[in-house]
Amino acid sequence: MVEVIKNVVCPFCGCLCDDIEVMVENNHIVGTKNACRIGHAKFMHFEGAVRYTEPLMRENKKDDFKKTDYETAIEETARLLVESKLPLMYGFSSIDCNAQHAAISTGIEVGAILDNTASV
Amino acid sequence: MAVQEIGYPVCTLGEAKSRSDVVIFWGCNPIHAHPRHMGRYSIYARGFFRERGRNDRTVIVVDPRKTDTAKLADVHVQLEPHKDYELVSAMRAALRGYEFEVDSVAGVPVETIYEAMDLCKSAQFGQLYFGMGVTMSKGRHRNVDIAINLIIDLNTYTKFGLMPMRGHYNVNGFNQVVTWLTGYPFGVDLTRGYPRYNPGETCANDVLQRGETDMMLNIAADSGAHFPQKAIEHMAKIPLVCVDPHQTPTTEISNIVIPTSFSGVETGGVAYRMDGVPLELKKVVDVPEGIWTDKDVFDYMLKKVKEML
Repeated sequence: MVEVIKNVVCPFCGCLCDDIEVMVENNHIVGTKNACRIGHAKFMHFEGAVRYTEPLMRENKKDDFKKTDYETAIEETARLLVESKLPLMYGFSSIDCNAQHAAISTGIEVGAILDNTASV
Repeated sequence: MAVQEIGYPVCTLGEAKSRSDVVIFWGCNPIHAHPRHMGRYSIYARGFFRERGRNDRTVIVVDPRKTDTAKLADVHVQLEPHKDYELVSAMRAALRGYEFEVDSVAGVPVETIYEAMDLCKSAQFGQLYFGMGVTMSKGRHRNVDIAINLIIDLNTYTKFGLMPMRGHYNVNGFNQVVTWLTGYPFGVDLTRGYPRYNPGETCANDVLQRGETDMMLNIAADSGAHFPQKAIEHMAKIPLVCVDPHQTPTTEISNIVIPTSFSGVETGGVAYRMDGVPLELKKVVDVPEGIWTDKDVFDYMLKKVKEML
């Protein structure tokens, strides 16, 4: 059965339209109402995008990726951050504020440069 | 950046919807980049004091190209590329009643400049929206700087506000959160143990292009597709970790890829709208099995970093 979820906030652009209706069937989004084409595409995510399902790691950038688990990938990232003299953390604009808080706190701990898309 | 030097007059999009009768779009093309902006907030929306929507508003578009937004405008000020600063200076002069000794400034006939300024002066409530066309052309944040001065000048005649058109949905949110935690809005350098801020020295592109940074953590952004070549060349040399659900040009040059769920689709949270209003994102479907959320990833990373230090 198609369930309609009303007043969803669209996570695409800075307009954050908050009147989107999203049609959900068996935990899959089957359609939207009120969204613009870009917002609709974000919810439906076609665009031929390849979504990763597991963390990937490689020592050398010329090698192929090897699948790994979250704990290993994040521990390795933490080690790189701690060992680096001048780590740069960039992005942040497409995650929610709670995640930003945790990410910025990590940056403050290791002494990183924090920057987002507003500087580009 | 310019905002910190002289401050700027803001209002919420709700207020713009109810009150604005003159709308300027400068260096942005909302028809394509923010498709519902005009319908919901800026032009076509029927507001409390603007019941007739578009008919109650005058639209001025400043853009070197005849964009689809410019085609809808009452006045299209078609300036030459990179001459924004010059044009704003001329507008400020026109506003103060100076006579021009030339026929055109920045490729715009002086009559058009006077016409635009007359429209702005006679507004009850004006609103200027600016996009990357202003911040990315020659002069960069100095363009915004002088645009704010123009708005200050206009406020001696009437009410006028300005607002940046934010691209990603939570650009403003990061600026808010990082200002709360470190005191600066972006480009914060914490390597000395205390926050320093000096755009041109401490922003992502500065440290990448000078080859100074020795590790990069890229979070939900595609810097590999949008940064200048020189910055990307350095990114390809250093250890690079990418936190992103999708395959992008950035993940192609990464050492570690950590996929996460989609905020606002698979997880809830809070995001800040372009006018600084925080809104609660909704979760509409479940996170695919085995995928961590952004918050889980960074909470765990923070825990591990604290153990290692």
